[in-house]
Amino acid sequence: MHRLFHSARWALPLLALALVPLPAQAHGFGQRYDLPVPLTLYLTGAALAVALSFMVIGLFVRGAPGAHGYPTLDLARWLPFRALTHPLTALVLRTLSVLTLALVVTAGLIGTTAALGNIAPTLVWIIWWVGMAYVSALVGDVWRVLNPFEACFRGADALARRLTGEGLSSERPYPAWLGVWPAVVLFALFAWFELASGRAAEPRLLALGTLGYAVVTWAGMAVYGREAWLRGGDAFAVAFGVLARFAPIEPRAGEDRRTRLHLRVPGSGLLAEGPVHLSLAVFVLAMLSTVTYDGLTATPLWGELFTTLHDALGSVTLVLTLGMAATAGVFIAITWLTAALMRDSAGGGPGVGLTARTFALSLVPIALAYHLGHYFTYLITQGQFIIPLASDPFGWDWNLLGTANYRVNIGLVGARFAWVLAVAAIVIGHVVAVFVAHVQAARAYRTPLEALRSQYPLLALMVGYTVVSLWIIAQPIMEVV
Amino acid sequence: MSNPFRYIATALLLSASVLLAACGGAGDPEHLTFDVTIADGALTGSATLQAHQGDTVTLVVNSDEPLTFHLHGYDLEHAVMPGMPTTIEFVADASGSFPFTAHRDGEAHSHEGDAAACEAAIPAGAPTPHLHLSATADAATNMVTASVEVDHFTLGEGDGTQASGHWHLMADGLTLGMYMEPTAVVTLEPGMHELTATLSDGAHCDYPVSATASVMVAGEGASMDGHDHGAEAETAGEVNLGRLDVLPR
Repeated sequence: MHRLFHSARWALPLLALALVPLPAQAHGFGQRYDLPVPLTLYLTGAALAVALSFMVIGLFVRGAPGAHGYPTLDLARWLPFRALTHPLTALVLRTLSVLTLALVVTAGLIGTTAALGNIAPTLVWIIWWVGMAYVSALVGDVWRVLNPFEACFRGADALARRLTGEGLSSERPYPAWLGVWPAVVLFALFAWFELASGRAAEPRLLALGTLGYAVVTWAGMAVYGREAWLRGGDAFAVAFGVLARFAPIEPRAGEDRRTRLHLRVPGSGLLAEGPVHLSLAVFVLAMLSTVTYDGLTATPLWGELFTTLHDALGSVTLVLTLGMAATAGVFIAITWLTAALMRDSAGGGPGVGLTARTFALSLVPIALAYHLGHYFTYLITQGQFIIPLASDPFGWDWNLLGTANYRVNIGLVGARFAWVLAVAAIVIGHVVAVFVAHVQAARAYRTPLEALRSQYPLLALMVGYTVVSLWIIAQPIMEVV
Repeated sequence: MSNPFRYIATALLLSASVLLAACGGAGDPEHLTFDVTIADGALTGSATLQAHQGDTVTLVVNSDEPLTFHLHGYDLEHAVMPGMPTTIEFVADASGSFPFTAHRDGEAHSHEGDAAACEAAIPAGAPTPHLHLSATADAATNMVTASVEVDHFTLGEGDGTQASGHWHLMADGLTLGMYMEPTAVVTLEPGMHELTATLSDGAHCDYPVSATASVMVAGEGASMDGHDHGAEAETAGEVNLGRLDVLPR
């Protein structure tokens, strides 16, 4: 008798192998083709970070900066910028954003269940989550205008007012102690879905998750009012808002209550205030930890750790959940430990908690730079999938725009360019972080000497954080496809 | 207050010097050949292959089971049959680290949509292949034996005088497998099934030939193995094999 390839028989060994524990795919969805940064470049980056740190310190030994605020340039004097903040522009952008949200939900619910054939995973994880982080950090808080959840509520609210004379929100006062805790919870759930659930790329779940988030957001806005919920409960509004503190463009309300765009030195938005609410400090650290955890899960070191943990615990999701929670815990613990050391070193000044809340934001540029450098190739390469998907969003063999057969060009970004970009971004981010921390210190401590002394532990933390970022990009990628 | 721009500019300058330091040559393009041997769904050799940008890379893929070899990024997919080395040659013109995987035929997941959108070329002067499909069902076990007869076609590696490759069997539009032998046995749910056979070349490009046959599965052995082909086809059987690192030159 012939050796017969019973379809199930030869499929089974493959299926069994697919279940062999391997680190799950990082970053929700999609593949990365990055080569590890060469050792020399990695060491050069680390050395530069240390050397430049001392240069920034040297700058502050000579003179402390001004007390408050930072210089900006009002862009409203130029017509194109006035047009950008025109209510009509916002209306058009919001409409497009709501339509895109509708597309994500519709495609996720009725389109193909194949992650690559459905527009929802690519649109959400690559274009929106990675892409919007770039726009928020490098341009400004565009999400504030685009936020489709808010736009829907705004529209429904306006409609309700016209019809019944009454808005949709009960405008109950938002309790001050609540801070951004609702956003912390929602962000943790979102990050878990992205990095630990192992099912982030499933279109159906993605659509349901999006709907769930929308319902929670609308409920929050209905109770506390739109603005209050955006500040404290809308995890994405808070997240992109934090990133946009780094951005060079800042929207400010003008005298005529119209928004005016101001240009500022990148990173200066992180200086805008003193100690932040405890919940915001936790939010920022949790957010930074997910960025690092995402990179960490693709390293061979994590691969080994994962195998050990998986043998002991038996569940991929459990291991990934623990890893994620542990990383966040380590970030928060190290920050508070550093704050304690800072107080010791300075020999005075604010207490430990206050110190941690004063300096938490200064870590943002390091994470941001790592994120921007790390995901550039990913965004440029995997992001191209949106071109064929735009023609066939549901995976139904459509060709609406004639681009359905577009082939992704993997040669747009060379490895050498990607390396240098990532290392340069991380070094610059580090310098900005050190700079921001020093300005904060000059404001938080009574004497320049206290301020200077407070910075040694923080500087050590920042150098360590930067070196970890560099180390991650110097590791070969290990992930399951 | 000193100007922070000065320090950022210094950082940029230093970064630029790093850029220059990172630029090094790596000689002339070479022709590299790698043996990729897959046993029990895993590589027997090194999991990381290394080439430099511009090199011509030849992968000779061997496997002890039928599968589709897929080099991601370059997006090259080839069917591999046991005992028949498959050669894939390309110029590594893009740098990066590209995973290669093995997956079931039914999972051929070309990013551009339909994997079999390409048409296989019949050697010049050779006649168009002819395909006939017949199928019988065993009422006791729900096993369906499907057999193909081919003319002007070589099952396996051809000698170039006529079309060659393997055949795919589908039931009700769902791919069940790819076969080198003229006979395949599959288990189907009770009921009437429309079977389709197609001929493909090594790169999974279809020849413009197909044949159909209907088969009735009586269903006496209905819940014998509780096997559901629909569910099986939904389960991705993709296995990570290794990576091809193309270093910049």
